[in-house]
Amino acid sequence: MLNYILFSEIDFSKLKLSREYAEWLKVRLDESCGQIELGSVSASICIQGVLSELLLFGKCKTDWLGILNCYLEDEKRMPLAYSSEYGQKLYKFNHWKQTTIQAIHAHWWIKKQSGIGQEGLTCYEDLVEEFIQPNGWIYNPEVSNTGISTRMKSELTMSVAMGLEVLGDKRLTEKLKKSFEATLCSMPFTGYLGAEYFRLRALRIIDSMELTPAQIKEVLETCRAGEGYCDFSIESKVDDYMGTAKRTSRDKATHSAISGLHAKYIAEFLGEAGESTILKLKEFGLHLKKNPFDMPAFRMRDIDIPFGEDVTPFEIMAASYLISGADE
Amino acid sequence: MSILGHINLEKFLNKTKGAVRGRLVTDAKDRVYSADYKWTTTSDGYLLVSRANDSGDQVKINPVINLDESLIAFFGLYSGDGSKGSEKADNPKVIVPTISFSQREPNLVRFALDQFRRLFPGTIHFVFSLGEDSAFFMDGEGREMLKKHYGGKIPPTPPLNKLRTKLNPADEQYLKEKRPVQGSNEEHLAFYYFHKDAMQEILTLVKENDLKKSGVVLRKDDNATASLRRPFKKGARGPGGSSRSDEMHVGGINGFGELFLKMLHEIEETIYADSKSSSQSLIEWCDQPSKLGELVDVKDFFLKNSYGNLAGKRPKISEDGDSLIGCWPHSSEIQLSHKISIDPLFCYVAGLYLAEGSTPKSVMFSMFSKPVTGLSFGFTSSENVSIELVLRSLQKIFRPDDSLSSWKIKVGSQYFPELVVIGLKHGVAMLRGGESGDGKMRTMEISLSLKKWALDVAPSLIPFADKYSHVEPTGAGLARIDFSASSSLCRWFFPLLVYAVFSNQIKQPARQFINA
Repeated sequence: MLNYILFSEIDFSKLKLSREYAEWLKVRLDESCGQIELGSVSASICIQGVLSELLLFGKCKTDWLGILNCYLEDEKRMPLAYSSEYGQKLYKFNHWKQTTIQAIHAHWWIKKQSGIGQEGLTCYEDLVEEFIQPNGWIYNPEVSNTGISTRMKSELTMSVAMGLEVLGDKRLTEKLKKSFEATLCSMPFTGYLGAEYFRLRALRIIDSMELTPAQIKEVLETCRAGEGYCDFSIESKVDDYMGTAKRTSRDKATHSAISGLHAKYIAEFLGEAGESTILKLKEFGLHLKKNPFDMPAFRMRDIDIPFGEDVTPFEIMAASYLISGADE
Repeated sequence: MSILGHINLEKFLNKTKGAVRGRLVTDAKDRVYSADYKWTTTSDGYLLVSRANDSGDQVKINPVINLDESLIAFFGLYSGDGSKGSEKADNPKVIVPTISFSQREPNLVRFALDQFRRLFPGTIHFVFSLGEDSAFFMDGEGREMLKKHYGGKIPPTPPLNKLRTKLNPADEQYLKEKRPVQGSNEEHLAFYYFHKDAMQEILTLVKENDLKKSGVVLRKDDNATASLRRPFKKGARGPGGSSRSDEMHVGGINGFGELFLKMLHEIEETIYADSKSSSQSLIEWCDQPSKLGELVDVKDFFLKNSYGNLAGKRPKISEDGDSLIGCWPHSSEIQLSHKISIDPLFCYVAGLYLAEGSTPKSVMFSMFSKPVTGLSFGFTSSENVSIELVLRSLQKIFRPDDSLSSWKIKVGSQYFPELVVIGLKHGVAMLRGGESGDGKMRTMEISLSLKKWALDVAPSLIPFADKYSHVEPTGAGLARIDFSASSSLCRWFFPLLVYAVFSNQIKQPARQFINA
């Protein structure tokens, strides 16, 4: 089984793309490769590139390892999230040189998929260990020194899930495991699908799923949006710092295939209690089959201009999986 | 003072038979307003305008209002700091305008007051209110004020159940909320109710004193009031924190809001389109707006005019072919146009920037009398029209490169969940910058993903697309665009802005501005 942490459900060695999705991914891949020729690349583009090629051609046709080595390592061979040229896409953005947990995970994952042995991956395990903070979370404070109360919940849980995947059983001592259990438990129920998905994913890696928040089922109810699921519920939007309710009458949640897969993972963990979600996701899959590119971007209140991207390679991959599930 | 155009109120009302209809797109909300009016003419030539259904006040106003530099600037100022109204409870697509103005800077308060009185020569009155978070009185300066009010010792706050036997729905909601501050919600709510009258008296006195210092003389029906919010609800992040707001409510013109908004919009639209008259002829300029206004010789202005003198200093200016090269002491050289017209665009932007610009208001007035440092230019808006008008006015005197040095997108915490999803679509988490998370967004995928949105919202930034720097997660509010310009232009641009607004009334800015 070949999977990626953003959606653990998908076995990329078996996933089939529809013709229109394959064409879309091919165009995006060509665009990315054109940019890479100019030295403009990010770790996330590499992951999307590897997965796209596996789906399109059954194997990697691009020298992703060479790209990582050439553009996404600093002078001390530290893994970077962005190449220097990619950093120029933002004007005078001096923070492009980042060793994030996601960058470490991306390098580790691509090298692992490329068949690089354990000795070539140890450096990433060391780095993750180095970035475990006294508060138990994993992040690089040199990239982002934001206090815990204002860090995004999904960032915290995603980084722990990625860090745990990199560390693997061998490096995960009983002491570390207990520390991660305590850290993951200490965060109250978030109400965000992604944050809860990554918490559950992390707890599964350390085999402690019984520590999942008791309210987790709520997220499957509150985050229903459009034809499927959104990462958050509009009603629960609160002030970042003070926790006070926000006016949301003009905000609209939009469905996302990625969020759909996060919901599925949680629903399967819940078993019987998650059955209605599984059914809803089958319907969502059928909807996507009929409307393959209906993965809308947000809108800022009444202004009909997409706020961020709608379709991305990851959305296409998640949608393909949901469509295949609907056919079963 | 020059008359640059007119608001043809009587002609407009005759033409539309009193129907006022308009569309308002602000804060990313698309809403309409509508009202029907009737009017009569008084023996002394004024119009008495009231709602056709007799609700509201009968408002005395000139049938034709002259648009000079000050009044145009006032509408720009109102566009930034004025209330546009509130949405109908049963139909959020419809707005019910009210006329009130939010400003604290004494020179601007006095200016707005004069313009309101000029626009509405009948019996209008003002209510000046000071709004504050009651957490302000829990520590620091506010606590000291409370202590003084009680004669040196603040009485202990009784428990909430002793103060309020029955809680209202807002209290119930307040108690449910979670805040990272010391003390319980019950204690905070008890503090609010127990000291409410005392806090209100203190703030009312503060407001009255501020008005006196501003030289605002309260007339018979004018008054000052204070309003308080429950602790930490208005924006104070901790005990002693302030979230002050100063409002000027205009009374005696109830029901006139739609017509006032119509004036404001048609002034803005004609300036934006550079057209001589608005579609329903409410606004008629004396010529195409860009052809109007005093033509100021930039070199003469900065070498001779009292507004070109900053704290006793004047710049060096040399000729450089088609342009000038200017340099203020301790600043950098900048290229300037020889002439600038103080046309309706410049006057409107002057008011708009005084309301919305990021430069501290006090500095805009004190720079004439005392040395100031750290001047900067920044403007934030969610609407293309405002951004474009400011950019156009900058480019009347500066090169495009100096007019905009970089721009970013500010996003309030209400929309952080959307930012997280944009990150997830690219497989990355949202990493914030700075200890409190309001620094530069570290996740480039999210910043880049929103660039297209910003350029679609504000196409006037397309020529500056390569100057986009980042997304900035910030305290509150919808996503908006913020641009900054070279700091070396401030000492050139700001005196001209202030001149456009105030030169009719203030001849010696170094001496005549309040607090200067």
